[in-house]
Amino acid sequence: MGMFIERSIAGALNFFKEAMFSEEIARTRGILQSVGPKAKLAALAFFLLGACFTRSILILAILYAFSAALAALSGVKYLYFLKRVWFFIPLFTAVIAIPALFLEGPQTALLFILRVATCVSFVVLVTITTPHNKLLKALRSIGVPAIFVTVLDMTYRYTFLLIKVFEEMHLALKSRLVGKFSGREGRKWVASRMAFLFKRSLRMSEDVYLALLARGYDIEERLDGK
Amino acid sequence: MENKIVYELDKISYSYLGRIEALRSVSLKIGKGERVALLGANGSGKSTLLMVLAALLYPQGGGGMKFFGREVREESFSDRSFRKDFRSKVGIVFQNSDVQLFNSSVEDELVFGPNQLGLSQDVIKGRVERYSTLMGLEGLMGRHPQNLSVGEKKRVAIASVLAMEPEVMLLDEPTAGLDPRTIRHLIEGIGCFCERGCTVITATQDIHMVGEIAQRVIVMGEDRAVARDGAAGDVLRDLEFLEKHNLVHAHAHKHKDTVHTHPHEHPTHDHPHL
Repeated sequence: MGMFIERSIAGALNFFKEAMFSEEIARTRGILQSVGPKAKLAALAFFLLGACFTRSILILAILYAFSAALAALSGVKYLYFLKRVWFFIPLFTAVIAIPALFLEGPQTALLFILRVATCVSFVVLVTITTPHNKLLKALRSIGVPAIFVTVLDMTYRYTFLLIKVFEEMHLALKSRLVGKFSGREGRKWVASRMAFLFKRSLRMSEDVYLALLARGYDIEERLDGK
Repeated sequence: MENKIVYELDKISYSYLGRIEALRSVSLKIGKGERVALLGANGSGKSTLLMVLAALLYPQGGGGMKFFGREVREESFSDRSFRKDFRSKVGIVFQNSDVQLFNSSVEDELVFGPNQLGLSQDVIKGRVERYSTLMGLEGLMGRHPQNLSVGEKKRVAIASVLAMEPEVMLLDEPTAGLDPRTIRHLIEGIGCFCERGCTVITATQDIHMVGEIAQRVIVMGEDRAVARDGAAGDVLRDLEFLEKHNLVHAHAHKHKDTVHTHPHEHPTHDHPHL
């Protein structure tokens, strides 16, 4: 397989596993790990609102620096923290920030990017320093509707499962690769596996729905709010 | 008067996408407290039949199904009280535990079903304790299901259905891919459920466990119709029939200078050497 594709697959798999499913940081000792999940969610809401409503670049810079300091005090490696935060920034900002750069000037674009970076930093800090199931319980206890928490939890769980399936397919391919496998063939393989995973996820979502029904889950009752 | 017939199936057929036939005109009756094994080769329609029995798939064509004497159709489930009654009485353990375990901890899995049934917190707590102990899950309650082994996931899936205390339990290949100790654990769990007088229907290819979990065997043929329905002992002793339906296979080996052939599976302890 082309080295580029091979490295991209391995890198993406590692990133997802580390970013979404590792609870290593949540289990280490640090300032944020010693705070209860509910208190963390309350503080998160406070900082998110602060970051969203301020129009001062200085305040945003201070908030961002504060999140970085909290990361350091919680045993989060700074490079890892930067990677986690800045991986998502282009996803959220590119569509808005690039036109803003030309239409409203660099200051507006900077304000926007800094605002997103600060918000993402706080969200990342809370999620990586709190075990997943405790975070979901805390969301429930502060009144987030059960259906949202359930969907969030299922998304997390089945993303993990599909990543595992993809990893196994990748290993199965590697185990049989003895000859040449060009970059083009590699790309074709990745595309076909994406289609396969998509079909598989559809099938799995149907099965999960049936399993929910079988265990008494009543979607109509939920939608009626009963 | 109490209805002793749990299921009454009359000429049930089912096809996936309208063209891949999975069940062909299946008719049978299953009584209260019966322990039934559904045997059949891959693709013989066992899992589809279980899904129909769980009313997760509905019969197509002219066939019909009754549950405790009441007709079960897709429309029946628009009636909330029927829906609740049926789901509280029928529990199904899926072949793939991953689709069944969607909560963030083992404890939440056990709580989910009873909670949906609207039971009180005290009752739920009692059931969680009872069935987690029965299935040996005490040390796993705080764990996320995705981090469990295949056998542990299966035990959690069974306990999560047991916690609903259904009257009918449907199990789809419960022992597939499990180690012997876990299989033993499962058989004991199923046995405990049977002692309460509940109906247990197990789809399996593992004919070693059939004698322990069923009194009656229904064999699905490769034409997706019922090939045989009889007492477990009679069916399991009919090696020619089992071989014909791809449930055992002939196996030749040597004892000193004599080569002999016999079905490779030993469904009963007194298998003959032909």
